[in-house]
Amino acid sequence: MFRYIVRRLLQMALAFFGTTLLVYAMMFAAQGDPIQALAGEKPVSASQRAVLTERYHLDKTGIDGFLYRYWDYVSNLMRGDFGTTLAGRSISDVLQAAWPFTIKLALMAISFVIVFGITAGVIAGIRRGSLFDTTTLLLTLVVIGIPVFVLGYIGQYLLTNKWRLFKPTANDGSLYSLLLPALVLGMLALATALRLTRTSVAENLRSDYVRTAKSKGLPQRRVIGVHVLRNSLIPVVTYLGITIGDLMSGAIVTERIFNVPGIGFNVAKGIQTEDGPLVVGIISLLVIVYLTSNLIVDVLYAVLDPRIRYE
Amino acid sequence: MSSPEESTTLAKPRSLAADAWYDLRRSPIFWIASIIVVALVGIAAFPGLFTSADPKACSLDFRFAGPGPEAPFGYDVQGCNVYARTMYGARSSIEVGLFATLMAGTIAFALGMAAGFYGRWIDTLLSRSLDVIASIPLLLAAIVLLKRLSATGGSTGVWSVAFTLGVLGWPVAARVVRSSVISAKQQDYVQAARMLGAGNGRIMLRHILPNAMAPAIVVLTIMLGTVIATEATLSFLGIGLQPPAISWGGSINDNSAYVRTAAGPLLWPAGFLAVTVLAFIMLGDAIRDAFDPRMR
Amino acid sequence: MTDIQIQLDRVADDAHLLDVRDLFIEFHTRDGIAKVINGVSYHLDAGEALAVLGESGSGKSVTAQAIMGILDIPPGKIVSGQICYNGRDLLSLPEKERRQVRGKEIAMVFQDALSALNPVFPVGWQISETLRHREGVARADALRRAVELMELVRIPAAKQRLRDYPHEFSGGMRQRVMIAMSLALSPKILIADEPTTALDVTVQAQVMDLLAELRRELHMAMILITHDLGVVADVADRIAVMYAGRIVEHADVHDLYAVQGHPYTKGLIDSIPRLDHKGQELATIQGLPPSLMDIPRGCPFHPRCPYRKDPICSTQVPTDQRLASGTRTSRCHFAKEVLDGTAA
Repeated sequence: MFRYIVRRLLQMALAFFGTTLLVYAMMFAAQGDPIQALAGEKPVSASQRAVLTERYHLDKTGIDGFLYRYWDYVSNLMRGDFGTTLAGRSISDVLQAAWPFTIKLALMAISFVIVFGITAGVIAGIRRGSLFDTTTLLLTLVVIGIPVFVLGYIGQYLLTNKWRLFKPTANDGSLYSLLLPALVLGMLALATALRLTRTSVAENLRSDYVRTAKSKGLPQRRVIGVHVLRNSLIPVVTYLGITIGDLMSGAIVTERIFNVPGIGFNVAKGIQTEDGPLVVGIISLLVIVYLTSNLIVDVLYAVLDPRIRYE
Repeated sequence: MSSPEESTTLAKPRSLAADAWYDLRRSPIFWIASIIVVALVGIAAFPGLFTSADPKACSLDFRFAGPGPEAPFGYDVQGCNVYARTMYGARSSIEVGLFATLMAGTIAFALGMAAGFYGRWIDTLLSRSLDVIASIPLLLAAIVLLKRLSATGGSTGVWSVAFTLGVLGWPVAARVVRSSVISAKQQDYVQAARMLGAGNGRIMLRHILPNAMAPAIVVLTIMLGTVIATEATLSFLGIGLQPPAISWGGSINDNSAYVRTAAGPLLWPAGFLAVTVLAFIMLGDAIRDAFDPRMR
Repeated sequence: MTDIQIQLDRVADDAHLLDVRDLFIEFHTRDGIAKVINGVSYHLDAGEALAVLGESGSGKSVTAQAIMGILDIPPGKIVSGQICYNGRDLLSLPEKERRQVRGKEIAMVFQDALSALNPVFPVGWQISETLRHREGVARADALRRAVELMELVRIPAAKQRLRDYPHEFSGGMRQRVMIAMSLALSPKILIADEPTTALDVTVQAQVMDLLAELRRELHMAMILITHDLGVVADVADRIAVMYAGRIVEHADVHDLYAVQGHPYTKGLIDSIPRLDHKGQELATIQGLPPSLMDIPRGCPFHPRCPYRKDPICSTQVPTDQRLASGTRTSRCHFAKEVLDGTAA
């Protein structure tokens, strides 16, 4: 177990440097004017230029300069310094104001996934071929097929406009106002988790150890509730880890639609105001969050599946 | 859990592909999805056949005007013909989807087969790079790369969006190709072919490629849907296809502020987008089910 | 047979510990209906060992699953028949009472212990689970009992291995864990479904010996399901040979080895390599087992039978022929001739 965790940590470190290098290279690869690249098509004032040159060590040139600047960027990231927006505001400050919304939103979305997605998936998996199963399969397929922002607008149109159950925007941060955005945000993950749980349960139900458990004379609810479920949830938990990445990309869209002033909202705003440092800074953070959640899931995976620990 | 000894004697000897095709022909989902896909490709190839109106002829005089003979879906916030724009929008979506998927597929096959077949350091290198690229959610990576491309090249047309999504989207397919190559490589008949003196090239083309084909096609079909969805999301966020290019995502963005007063100009392209993405995902799903004997 | 004789047989049958009567089972699949079991009857007395022998698809495992009540329904369907345990028909019991029989009265050991054991729970947990949830034994006591059971099946350092997972055991040890688990509630009957097929040859013998010893020590009855004639002789008292969902021959072990009353059994025995027949070509049974979707008319074995005589073999289903020595039966039109070696 210990060796497994150490290996995962090393892999994460590798992935961390890889991803940050990739993000950095995509943004600042040596061609054209990197400052202009950050600012997009907006004009850059002399003072902004001086600040950015200083900050990113743009006076150094060549591959050396690139690596030097990359190292700056990474060490800043590790110190929790995500840079400043074009307007000179610290991105950490922006994040501080924004994260409570996004965390609430994401937690609510994950709760939907766990409560509805997994439960319905287990039922569908047990009653494969039933009306419930075919209906949920079809519904989840539709949900998976519809992009989040379309879902968001349809949800907003129907629930806030036609039936007036919710307010169209959720900028007060109350749990009720976040309900609809969270549902929209979690919908894709919910549908995917449901299908995954269904497949996993159906597959495990057919495995030999189920027959063994039955032949021990255990009641059906124990066979399914303990033996099957414990095995079926292994891939689902792994998926939930990966889905955090989707939730963060989804938040960019969902928060824009419902005007939730969270982290994703700031990315969307950064794109619109062509604020490169803001976009890159926040995305760097999101990538780190994603890597960390993957690490946690990997460890959880090893806890859940004893076969993994000894690989 | 029907006892394994029974199923072996009951199964008639049919090849996997024939069996899969037998299943596919009976799947209504497969037919519905195929018809939608063919129709969409038709619209994308010849949008002029479906509308005689000019999607770029917009006039504020027609702002939110109701449906007319030329414009069955009415007019949008800028007075553009919603129907015409939706038809021409299909072209961008399908173009981006096809180019990006072709690109991703080519990279995936080349690298996945090389890594799976030769193993060793090539495999390690590829696997680690896959891990890195896959550690950045597609949309986030696409935002960064497109931001960069738009700043330097200035253009954010179909090509740069397709390039971005292709360059970032290949890892999933490459993983699938790699693992099916590895499993095919260990099959007895491949080993036998090698003993009989077949060269690497021949073994790869005749024995290993066909094996990797089915799972890769499934993944790539689904990816086509995902790419179209991502393109629309990017255009919606204002970083994908930019005006004057016509795209569903862009139309949705243009009209998003008015969803409470006039939902039509938003819902029509949104509906087409959803159906398109759904069709590709359903198609991939149906093929996968047909090829996956475990789910029978 | 007179009515009185039939009634006498009934009374005698009721004395059997387990009595399978005229069982018919079908599998309803996509491709059609497979008639898997077509009138199987066999019985088992306390402390006795019966070997059920047959090729893949002969229905030997399905019968066992029907006895245990773990057959998947659907696709399986029990068309008719009775499975009586201590005089009660298990098939007519409600699931709740049926469940009480499993593990406590009749227990089962499966073929491949690696997949038959749950991969995510330690073996101690899995063995003690039966005791905890069937008998309400406290966790610590159940674990102590699990150690005893593991020692009973001769797993070395049982106490230390309690927390190990199935994949950490060798194949033979894993099968021993499986056996220990099945013995937890001291069943009267142990059904061993090809218990050694997944094991190495040397380990096979050890596990088989263990089963034979345990049966004597614990006075259990045993049904040993196998396709391997070689492992049967030392363990079983009687043999039932199955073909296409029927029992084609039934005899005491030693009688059957000596001389066979059914062409199929004869083919099986002749196809065993023997040291004293060195240099001779090994006999095999021609052809393949029939598809259960489409069982041949008449005697299901007739297309492969070297003794077949038309038209009788291809038109009439043979009934059970009682052969000389007591309980010995054969479903062959020419059973006596085959037994005497006079058939051609």
